[in-house]
Amino acid sequence: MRILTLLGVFLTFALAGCGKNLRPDIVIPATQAKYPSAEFYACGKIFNGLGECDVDEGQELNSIDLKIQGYYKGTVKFSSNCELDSALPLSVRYSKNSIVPFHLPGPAIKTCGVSFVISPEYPNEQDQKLVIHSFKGHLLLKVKIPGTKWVGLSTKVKAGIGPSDVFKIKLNTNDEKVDVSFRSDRCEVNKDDLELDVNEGSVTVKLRELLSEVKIKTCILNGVVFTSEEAIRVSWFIAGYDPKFIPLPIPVTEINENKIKILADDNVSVISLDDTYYIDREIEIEFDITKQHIIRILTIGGRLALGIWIPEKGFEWML
Amino acid sequence: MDVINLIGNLFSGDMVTIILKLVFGLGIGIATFFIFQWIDKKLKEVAHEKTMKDRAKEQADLDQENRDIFDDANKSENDLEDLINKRK
Repeated sequence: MRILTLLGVFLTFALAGCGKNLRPDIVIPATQAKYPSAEFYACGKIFNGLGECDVDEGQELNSIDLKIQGYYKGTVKFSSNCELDSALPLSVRYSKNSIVPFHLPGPAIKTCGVSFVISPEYPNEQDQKLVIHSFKGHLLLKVKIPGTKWVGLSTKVKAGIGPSDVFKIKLNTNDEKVDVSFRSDRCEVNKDDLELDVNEGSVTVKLRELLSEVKIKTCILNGVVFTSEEAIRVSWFIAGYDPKFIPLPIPVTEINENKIKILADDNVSVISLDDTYYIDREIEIEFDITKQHIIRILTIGGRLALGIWIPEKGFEWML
Repeated sequence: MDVINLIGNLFSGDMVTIILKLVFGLGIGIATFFIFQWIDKKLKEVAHEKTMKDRAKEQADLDQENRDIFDDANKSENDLEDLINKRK
């Protein structure tokens, strides 16, 4: 009887030790580094951290269908400067990796934005000596006059001198040169009448021409491209992040027959394939290559890598 | 060899001494175990408290950040609309 009791106690401890633990993330937290990394869906697209949608003046704001992805259970907090018809719950509890919708009642009046923070609570996080951080996101809602043209782009840029990012804007013109203006008080941009060449129907704006140095802050550079036919409005959503921060590397994936093996970075705590979540940095799971899938790689520091599997095209990663 | 000597020393002397040595040894062992348990628990509590504090801060910053980003965007958008109207 004693031997059986001892065996039972031993097995209980042995099995308790088998559970996978969260892993520390050695990089500074994404929110602290000003690196937006919340996964969200709006205007039929998926975004990682920053996003932009356009709506015509007077159109229902809710038509953008904003949804935020929650992980495990936790809280999503919202903030918005949009003029809405009624007050909204600004903090929502979720569970079971669910998607949290955010309703925006009322017509589009002026350009505004929605910001949110996802604070997941991982299983048994209290039993570990780890500090867990959130995922932050921002969505720009560009309200445009019906009939006008607008183009938006979001870019996360390491703060520092001489950014190499570019914004290629497609034009419908025969002009050889166009005038471009950009403004943002927050990012200290005030460029008027930059004369840029049109190449193969597109104009390329270099961030370096607008900003000599990217600071650690998020801002929207609004611009206009003047062709002889029209004025095209442009919004370049820039998140300048702390150079100490390192975006998550793309994991190693190996597909064999109907299975996928995913090996993520050492700092990764969670890997998910579609709706199934694992607290691990390495998994092998059934995978149907003929269907679209989404892989999520998360760290407790709020770093996220999203891999969208498109049949016959492969993975497209969003970091 | 040292371990054998140590065990030999432990069981040397009369029965009372052996029992006292065992009780003392066991007492130190149990006390060390509980001290480590207590330190481990405290470290977990500190980490959890920091998590809660950081979460609250991350959420508290949100309203200000939203206004800073998007109110500025509104202003630059209005400036550019004025510029477009001037060029018409």
